[in-house]
Amino acid sequence: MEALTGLALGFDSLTATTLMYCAIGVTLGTFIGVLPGIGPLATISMLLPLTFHLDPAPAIIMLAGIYYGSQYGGSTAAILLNIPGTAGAAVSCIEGYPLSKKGRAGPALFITSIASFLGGSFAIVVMVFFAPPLGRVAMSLGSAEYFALMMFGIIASMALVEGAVLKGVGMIIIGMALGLMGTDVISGAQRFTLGIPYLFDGISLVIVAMGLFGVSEVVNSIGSEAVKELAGQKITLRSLVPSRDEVQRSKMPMLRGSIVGTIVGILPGAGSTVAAFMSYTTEQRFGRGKVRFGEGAIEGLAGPESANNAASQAEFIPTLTLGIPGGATMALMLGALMIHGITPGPQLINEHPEVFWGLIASFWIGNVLLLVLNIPLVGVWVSILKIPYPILYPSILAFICLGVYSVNNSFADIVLLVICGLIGYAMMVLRFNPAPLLLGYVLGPLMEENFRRALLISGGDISIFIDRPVTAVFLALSVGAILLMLVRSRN
Amino acid sequence: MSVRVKIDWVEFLSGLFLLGSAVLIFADSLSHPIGSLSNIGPGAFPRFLGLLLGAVSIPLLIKGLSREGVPPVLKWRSLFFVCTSLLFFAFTIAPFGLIPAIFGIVLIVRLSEPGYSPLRILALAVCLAVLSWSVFAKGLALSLHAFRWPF
Repeated sequence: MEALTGLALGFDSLTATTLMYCAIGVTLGTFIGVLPGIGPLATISMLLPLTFHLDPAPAIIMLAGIYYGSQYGGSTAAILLNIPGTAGAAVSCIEGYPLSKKGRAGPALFITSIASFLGGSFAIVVMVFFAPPLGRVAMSLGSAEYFALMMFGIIASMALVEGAVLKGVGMIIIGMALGLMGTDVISGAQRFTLGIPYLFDGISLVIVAMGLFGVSEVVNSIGSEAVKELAGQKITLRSLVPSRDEVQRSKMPMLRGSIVGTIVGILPGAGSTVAAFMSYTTEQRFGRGKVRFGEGAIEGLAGPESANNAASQAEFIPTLTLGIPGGATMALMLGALMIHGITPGPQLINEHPEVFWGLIASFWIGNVLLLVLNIPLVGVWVSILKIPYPILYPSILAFICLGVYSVNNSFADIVLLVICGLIGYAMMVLRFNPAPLLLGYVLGPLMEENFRRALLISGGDISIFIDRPVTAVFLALSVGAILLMLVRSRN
Repeated sequence: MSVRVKIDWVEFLSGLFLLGSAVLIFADSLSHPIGSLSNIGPGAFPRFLGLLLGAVSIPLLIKGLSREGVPPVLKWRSLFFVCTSLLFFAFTIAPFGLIPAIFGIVLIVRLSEPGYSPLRILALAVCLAVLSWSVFAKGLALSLHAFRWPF
């Protein structure tokens, strides 16, 4: 019953302003999801400075809306152009584009919206009932357990990181060092500051994220061609209606996708992309012999679309209840809450119930809004694909500058942004994926602090990390993840 | 005939980048104590990170030197103009105000890509200036000046 009273509190706490920010978030999310080349990570980084000027609840609600909204939008370009709008939609190209070539783009878009909605809703229900008990369990965890959990989280994300394993590990370590920059909380030592007072408070998450994801992305995208040719069909409301057969064939994949996505989302390291791929392989297994994959099988579209949305919602469970982000986007969410002095973790539900339950209530509303945005208004989003990039990039840059500047009114912040942008671009050219860096940035200092505190408490006795069940289990899982990583790096 | 040197520049430079970072991290950590097990000092964790990063960089360096690869391509032009426009913003926003700074960004960054009608660029600059003024100065009530003159 706790879940239901909580949810009621959540809906009560939503004001007109909060709802407005929720609507802004999901609309913006769909917008940038539709546009290939600019993803949720870049957008959330760009809007992060705005959260300094908002209350915590509307701020996090808006940022979250961008994230799950982008999962809806991401499939549009995938289906119509064979270009994933977001990473999580890559799988949707496999079956979505052939459907579109067969003239079934309308039903494909309709089914993906429904699948996204069901996947998201499923994960929210799980969250409503699962998060409070998980939070209570987490209350009893000490520093040693937290260290073990974070270590598992970070190693699991190293093992599952997209692209080269070694480069991913490198990014996480550099992120951790950046996170440690500034005054050490335990000893007061100045680390990585070169004696410059400007760096005594560390380097702000806003600047790191915008430099790595905003500026470098703009540099890289200038000169790329805007989309010229759509799949050559008008998307009218009437063309959206799927056939009875298509609906029938999508039902089970949606259910399976929701379950797969929710589980994958809760696990650290694996985000919506992994969830979509896992759902696709699940559908291949179930449909073997009956369905012809790769030629426009609606099963292979409905499942992954449910899965990536379920995962993007479920990722909030460990982030909010344990304070441990599973990926870069969640690290940004955590950062946004910490800017307001709210430490996500087991205390969140008790100390800031309006933020926790308000966020969950906003998920429901956001998903309903997204359904409206994506079904009747789908034509609008399709036309957005034609926005010329020469207009988009100056606008993004102007927004980045104002955003960074608005935090401290400091020109030095912009200079630092340029430096981060240069480093970010260099990393991009060298084919690093900078997303794990953010995870390291947020988790690094927390891991160090918990490790040191655990040993302070135990008086230097290392066995504190082994003789409790929770730590032992997670350290064992970490070893397993390292083995998986070694196997992957040999291939 | 000269011996052909096989280098995969992307991997080699990646390794070098990580190794360089590792050296910086390790060097800084030397100025802080490691402490003891019961009271770990501020130097311990960075030192560990530096060593680990150094270890990670070595396989990349070896990989880079043992095979051939496509050299990385830099978009110098857009890199230069994007950075210039950001720096222009940094140094104009306080003395000259928001609107000149926004105009500067748009006009400078458009130089990175030829062939776009000047009229549309100007229109974009006007729109962005108005939009950012209304969002940041009015909507979020930040203390930003539209125009200023420092002299």
